[in-house]
Amino acid sequence: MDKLIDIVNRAVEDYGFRQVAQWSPGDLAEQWQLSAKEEEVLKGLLKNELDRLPIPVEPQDYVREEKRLAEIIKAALG
Amino acid sequence: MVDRLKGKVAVVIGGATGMGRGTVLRFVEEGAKVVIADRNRIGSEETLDLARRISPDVEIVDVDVSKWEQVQDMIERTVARFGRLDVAVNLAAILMLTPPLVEIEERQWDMIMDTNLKGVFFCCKAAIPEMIKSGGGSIINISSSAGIDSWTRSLPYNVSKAGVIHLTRVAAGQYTSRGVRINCIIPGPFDTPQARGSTQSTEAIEAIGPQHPMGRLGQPEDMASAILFLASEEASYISGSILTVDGGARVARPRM
Repeated sequence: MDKLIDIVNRAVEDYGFRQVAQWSPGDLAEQWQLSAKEEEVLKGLLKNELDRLPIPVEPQDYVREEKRLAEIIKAALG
Repeated sequence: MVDRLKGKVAVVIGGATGMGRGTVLRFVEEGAKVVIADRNRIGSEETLDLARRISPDVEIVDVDVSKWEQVQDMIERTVARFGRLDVAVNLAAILMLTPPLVEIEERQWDMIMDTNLKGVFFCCKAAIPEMIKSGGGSIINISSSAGIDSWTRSLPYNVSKAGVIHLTRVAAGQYTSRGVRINCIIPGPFDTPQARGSTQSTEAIEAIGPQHPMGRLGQPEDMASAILFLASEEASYISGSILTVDGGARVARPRM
């Protein structure tokens, strides 16, 4: 779970990283050594969320977005 | 002017958004048959929809340029669909922000290099043989002002873009005699999703325009015009060149 939260936090604050998470999530799964379930969440639920984030996420919105995405991850991974 | 690329087949790698989208639309207006190659499927489909309003001769190929098999497939599908390859534009890149050198993770370095530099190498490697078969061609590699100046927010990005410049020079030295012109463009500040994302705030990017010598950021259409020139027969005696397209930003910058 912590690895996925690390990935989404980077994706919120860095659009370049976000693009990798959106379009090459398999690469991130390998580099972060995600479990099969974590990879599924990244490629599904989180991909959809990242697609909808504004470009850029404004700095004052980082904490709110990161908390929201962390809640989605916690719910998905139980 | 129209039909400057009439009968030509082009692949625009990184064609889904920003400068790539602008280039796809300009090429189609000028009579080219175009493949939009990108890993951003949503953006590719939006670009396709816009381009098909101009011409039916536009297709999408999904590609991650860091994967050799996918790049080979991209070129094979372009030739299978349109019969030849004349122009390749290498725009695919990521601008990932990194801490100072000592704190950079190996995986950050690899992700940036794999897309920005190895990707250009792979695309040239796959495209050049097909261009030679077609009797020649034009490759336009897109670097960045970060490739010649120090931009301290991402060392790997700087290095990757410097590599694109030198890859261009050496490859042009190797293949110009076989009819493949290879040139490089160094963009300055442009208003693209990538630039907005890397600037990290709307306020920050909107502050750049008023400080620019032309009073504005570059638009994708500005880049498309430069790419079109290098792709066209008007640039038939140009190879191994590095063209700065920044509206004079670099030369007007105050020196310390």
